[in-house]
Amino acid sequence: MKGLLNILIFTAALFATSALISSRQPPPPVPIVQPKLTWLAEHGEQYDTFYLGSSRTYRQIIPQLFDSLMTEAGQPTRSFNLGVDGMRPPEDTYLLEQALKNRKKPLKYVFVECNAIRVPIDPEKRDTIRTVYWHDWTRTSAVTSAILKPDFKKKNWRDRGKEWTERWPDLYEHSLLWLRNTTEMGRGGDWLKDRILNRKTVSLGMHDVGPLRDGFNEVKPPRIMEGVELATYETDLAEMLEKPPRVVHAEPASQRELLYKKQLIEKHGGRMVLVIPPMTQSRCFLPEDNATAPLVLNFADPAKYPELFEARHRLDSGHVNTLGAELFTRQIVNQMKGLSAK
Amino acid sequence: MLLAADIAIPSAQPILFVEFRFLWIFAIIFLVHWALRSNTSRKVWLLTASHVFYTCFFIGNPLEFFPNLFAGAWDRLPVGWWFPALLWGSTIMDYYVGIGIEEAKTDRRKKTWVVMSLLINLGVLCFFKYYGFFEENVRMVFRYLNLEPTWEPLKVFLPYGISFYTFQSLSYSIEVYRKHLPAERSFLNLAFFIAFFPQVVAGPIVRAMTFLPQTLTRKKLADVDVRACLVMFLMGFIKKSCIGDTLAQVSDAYFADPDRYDVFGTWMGVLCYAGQIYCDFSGYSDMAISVSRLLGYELCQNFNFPYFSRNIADFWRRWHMSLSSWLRDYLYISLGGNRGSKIFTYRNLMLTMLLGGLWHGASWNFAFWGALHGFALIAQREWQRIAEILPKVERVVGYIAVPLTFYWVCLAWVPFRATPIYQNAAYADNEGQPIPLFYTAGGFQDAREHEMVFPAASLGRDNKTGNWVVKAQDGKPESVIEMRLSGFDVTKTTLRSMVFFQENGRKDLGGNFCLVLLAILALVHWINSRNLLSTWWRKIPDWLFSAILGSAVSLALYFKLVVYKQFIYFQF
Repeated sequence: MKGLLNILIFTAALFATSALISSRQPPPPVPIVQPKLTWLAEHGEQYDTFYLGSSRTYRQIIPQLFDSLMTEAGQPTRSFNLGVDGMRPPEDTYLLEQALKNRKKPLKYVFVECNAIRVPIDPEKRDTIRTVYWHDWTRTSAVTSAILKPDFKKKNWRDRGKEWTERWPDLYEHSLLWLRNTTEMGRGGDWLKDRILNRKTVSLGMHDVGPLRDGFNEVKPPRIMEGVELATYETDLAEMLEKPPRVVHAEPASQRELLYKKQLIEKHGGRMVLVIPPMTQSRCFLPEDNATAPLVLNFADPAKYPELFEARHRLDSGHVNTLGAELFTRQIVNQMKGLSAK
Repeated sequence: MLLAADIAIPSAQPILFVEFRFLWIFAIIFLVHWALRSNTSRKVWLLTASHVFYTCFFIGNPLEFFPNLFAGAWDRLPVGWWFPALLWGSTIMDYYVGIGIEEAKTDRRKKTWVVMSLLINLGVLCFFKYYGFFEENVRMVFRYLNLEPTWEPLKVFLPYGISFYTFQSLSYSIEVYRKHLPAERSFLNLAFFIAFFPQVVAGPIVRAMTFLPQTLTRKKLADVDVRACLVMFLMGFIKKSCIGDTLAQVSDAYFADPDRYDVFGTWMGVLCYAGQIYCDFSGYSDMAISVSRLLGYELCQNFNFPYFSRNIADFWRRWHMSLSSWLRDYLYISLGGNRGSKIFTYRNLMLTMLLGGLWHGASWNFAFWGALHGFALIAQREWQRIAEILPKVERVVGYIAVPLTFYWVCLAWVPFRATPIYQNAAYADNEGQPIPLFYTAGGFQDAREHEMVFPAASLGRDNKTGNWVVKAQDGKPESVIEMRLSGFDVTKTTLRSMVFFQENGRKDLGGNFCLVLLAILALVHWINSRNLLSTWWRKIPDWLFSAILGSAVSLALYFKLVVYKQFIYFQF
């Protein structure tokens, strides 16, 4: 009993000290994320519309174009692109929370890239601040829930066993990341490293916020598919046309993430619009029920949006290029106009 | 499989004491150990845990390893996956050697047994450790004679810990031969002694005489000074992860570009290395000793504030004490020690230090390091003769004995640390300057960022020039990795700056912050050496100790460097 009490005191002291350290720390220098949050802290009230997602949002939805088209349609907006390369739930939820933290003015729309929670961690990115920073209690709980209660519908016992075996190391990894984030592990070491090497801490520039400071950055250098990559893409596209993507709802935790985002956006007076970007895929994640199913704009449909899948508008199978981004943004506006007309 | 010229890079990573996964692994070992009732079952458990711990260093992900092993997919197994068999082999051999020595009827037969143990243990160690060194030197001789070596280079990987457990195993057979110890009839006890996980890969080198008797008694948790163990473990963690790894940033920066720094930068680089190697190794030893104590077993002390030594002999009584005492008892004394003329003694001293240097690594740098220490030991003996005649001079020198000894030790660290610097024209910074590379068993790493740039699988050798070559996917040579500075050049450049204060370059390193940090660390180290603050934590109540420990752990985690550097002594 006494031993248990001492362990509890130890744990409480550890986390109390970490909380004190954390309260004195500047925000972590996360590329793309921190510059955007810094910009929004000063100018956030100017914007009433946000786009949230991965590179398929960051590099593909052009705020300036969207705003001008929506203004022409009689629904003026001032939008900001909150997309970040490689971002998936629940990191995007964390970023949205941070962006809306002290917001007073109501939102109009938040376009959210429709993705399930991503559980596996890229080993090359494990020890980066980008992987650590969003692992607070809420987000880690969401990932833990996704791991412990995976989507086991229509899976046989062997597949379930295989999935459990693959996912358990992820539980350990995410728990560790939570601990690293909570204890601000290594932040003091980084500071010492910079001081001992007598070098200035690199501050993240505003280039991630885009040249127009609207959060959008186009892909550079521009490129198009060719050779083997193009041939593979055309094969995948043909398959997709023949057999449309299977709808999946993923695990309950992913559904709860969607619902939470919807509630957060509505709390700030906005409407959530789910966007499925134009990409070749065999599965398509969608909300499960109407309560969570706000507006859904599904562009992963080459039959309906052939121009978004033309090779000259593509960067690769998952992304459109700059030309494609213009088309994609226009299509979003067209869909929004259509929905408003209804 | 192992001895091929082109070979897969081992994917396995050792489990470091500073990693979180070690904490939960140890928690399981600790709980099961103390839950078991009998001494035998505890030893079986610890032996099993030790071998699993050791094997994990080599097999990588068990979920990939075992399916590949059972499927006979040998080419997909990590290099060196079978190295744990060497540990078993050494243990089994020395078990029968011990019994053979004890039961041998004549001294000649006893000697045969112990020589067999020496030859096989040292033979295996020498093959894995020195084959590459031997082959490289033969190639150099061939090239010097304008002959082209026609054989393909053999790549031999060094099993983790072989230098340590081989010496440990040898201490057993030698002590049985010298009748200081009866032969161990319990295979379990002997196997447990050799493989005990806290010290199997990086020491301390435990003597059979001190450890085997401990295996005979059942331990009680109530006898374990848990508080002291936790403090010691935390101190070791801070030394390794916070201090050692931080100082390594400066020393790595210096030794990647030694010809670009001014005198102050040179001194900062070397001083930081002196701090790094001490913190790294003594930190690991502290963690190993505390972990062992938590399980009820006592390992020997390995460091005793060596940088406050008054002379080199004193330094070797305080630095890596388990190795220096092993060399003294089994090498120096076996060579004859000081039981002969002055020249005979000096020969034995120099041989012992040379071999001690080579034990650290298969390179002339380490031999040179050993020779510097051997020379210093000889010089100290000569000085002692002079000092007897000139007591006033001795008193004056006494005032500077500690800094003088520290200075010499730092000079000797230079060849110890100096590794050749390479460069490849294709790997350069934004200004087009080639980024320094250094060579490891896994390939060439960026000397500043410690990231693998050219993995071993992409490399070959030009038999004519001896240069490393980067191969394209089709196997044809694509570019050359040239040696910019040899280990000798790095040593020469650094010593020139340290001894003659000659500027090599204009870049500074470290600055005032580094100097102040080193001064604070030295002060704290001195306070510890005087035991001024060593017992206050024993007197406080448990709840307060727990609270302070929790806060200390939080601070330690805050200041640790996140990207782990591997323990320096894992490479030996």
